[in-house]
Amino acid sequence: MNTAALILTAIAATFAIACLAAAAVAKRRKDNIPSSRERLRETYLHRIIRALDSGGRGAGKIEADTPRRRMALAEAMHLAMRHTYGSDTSALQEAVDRNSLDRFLLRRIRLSRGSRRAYLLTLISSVPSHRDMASLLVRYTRSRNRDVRVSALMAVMAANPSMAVRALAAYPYPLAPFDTARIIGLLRRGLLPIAFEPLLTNANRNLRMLGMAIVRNFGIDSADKSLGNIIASDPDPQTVREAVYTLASLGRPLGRAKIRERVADFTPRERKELCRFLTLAGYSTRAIRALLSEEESRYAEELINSHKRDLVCKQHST
Amino acid sequence: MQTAQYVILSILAVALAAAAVRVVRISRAMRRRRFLAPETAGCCESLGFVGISAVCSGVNSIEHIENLLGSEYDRYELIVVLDAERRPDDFRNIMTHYGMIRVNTAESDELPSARIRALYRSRRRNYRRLVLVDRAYATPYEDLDAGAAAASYDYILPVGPSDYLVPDAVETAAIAISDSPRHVEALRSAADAPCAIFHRETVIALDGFSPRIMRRIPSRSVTRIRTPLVFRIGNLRRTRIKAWSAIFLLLAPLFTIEALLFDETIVAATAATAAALFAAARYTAAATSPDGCSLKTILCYFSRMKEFFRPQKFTIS
Repeated sequence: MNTAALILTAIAATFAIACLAAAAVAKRRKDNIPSSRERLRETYLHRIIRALDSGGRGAGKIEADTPRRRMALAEAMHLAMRHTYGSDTSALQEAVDRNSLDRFLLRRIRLSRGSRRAYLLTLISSVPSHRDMASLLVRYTRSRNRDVRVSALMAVMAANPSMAVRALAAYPYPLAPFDTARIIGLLRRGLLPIAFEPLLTNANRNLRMLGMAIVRNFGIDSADKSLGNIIASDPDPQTVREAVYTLASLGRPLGRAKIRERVADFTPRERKELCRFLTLAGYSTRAIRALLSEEESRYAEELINSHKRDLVCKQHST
Repeated sequence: MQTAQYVILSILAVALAAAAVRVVRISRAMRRRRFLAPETAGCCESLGFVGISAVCSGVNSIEHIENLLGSEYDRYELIVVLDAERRPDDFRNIMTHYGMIRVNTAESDELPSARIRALYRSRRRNYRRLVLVDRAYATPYEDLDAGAAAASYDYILPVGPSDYLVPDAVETAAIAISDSPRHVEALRSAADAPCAIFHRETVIALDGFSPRIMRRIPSRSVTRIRTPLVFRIGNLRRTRIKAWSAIFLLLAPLFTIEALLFDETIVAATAATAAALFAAARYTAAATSPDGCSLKTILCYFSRMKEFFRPQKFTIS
């Protein structure tokens, strides 16, 4: 009995000390007190920005000799890449090669797991690396952890942009909206080509979803026909829903017979959601009436009216 | 006596294990949130077209409304429900500060308890997300019904007078809803300040908000997240008194009985477990709550224990 009580006491005491230490770290983070690595990261960030400004000159002189410094350098590169559009990553290649940053990150990725691994994979997607890096990262796209596999997919795509579509097609899981939004983030940074048409006509669901996200994000009106084809012929109701919403967010006409037919297959709840979406997207009552039932259109009319104010015009007496 | 000692040790071990599991889950969720926060900031579009309408009852100060309007998520609106006759000064303040004008409104067929007197929207573009609803105050649940009737988006986030949104709360909720493979009827944040988001059609199907709304939604349709969406600014003095009294009432008799009946190793094990639970509460508060008040977390432990025996009512603070 005494032994069991002593063991429990020891475990509880250790747990208490660990929790108090973690609380101190969390409080420090909340109070925005920078750690020494964060200060180092800031120093590297200034040097990276200077190097990018001068077209890569001086990048070779950036030195990170310890693991802590390498990590700070990788984070600084990620920060710089995330906040700049179309920066030439090859300008920093010299700094990466000199400090073996890609190999260092790869080793860390191998040793970590969970969110930490996902974070390191996100870092490596911002670090200019050689094309063979993509083949070393592919195995993580099959991870059980969703954050890890999506981050790995992004890293593979960034390492070899010419093979991005193939990597995405080989990705075995359906992409969630947030995953697509993260990939769009890569596109916004200018790391991947924006060729939406082959994506929209592809048989792979993930590619079609990404194609539609590109169309929405970059407001590509010319995708009207391809979206119409998806609505008319796609067997997956989720993809059809996405295509209808994409067309609506572009403000394109929705009165075509095929679209009406597919919308009629939606559940009542989905139709009401669409009705609210169309109202907010600025569609007129007439346009909504052409697509939805009389009752749903009445609901849309009430919603549209709640954004208006009746003006009472009094007649002037002479 | 030996059996009683074993029972006490087992209870202590279970409490410690539960605290450890909670700490691990929260630390994982917070690490994920830290990792995803910069990614959500870069998201320009709504995730899976998920839209969230925050509906507040009892919120009447400009600072509070400013906090609730702070979200940058694309498809988000704030609906403030207030009784213009009961609180004329607050109502006038909000009207002038945000340049609100009266717009058309119709009687809601979906939620008959809504009974909206008037609906106001801002003339200013930068406040286009704000909607002001004037209705005679009866209960907070009816206020929420009125807000849900006026809502333009599919998900309703009920907000009480002491609830403030944590940074990225709306984005976190939108990610959780859009990522779920099945249809989400409700999203529940299992953090220290419990908070829930409901699908508008679910609220209508259940005849509006009520204390029993959460119990009436099948648990398989409820998605749970560990990260907080709101934090509560309550009466700190009252929280302290409540928490310390609860702790005293629980620990004082326990230690007295143990000291009288058992040997000191059992007392030491109890003290160490209590310290571990305090430390776990301290960590949870520091990691998740902006005010870092661990006593609130301890009160949350007690309410969880109560919930184990009797399902909790849905309330807004």
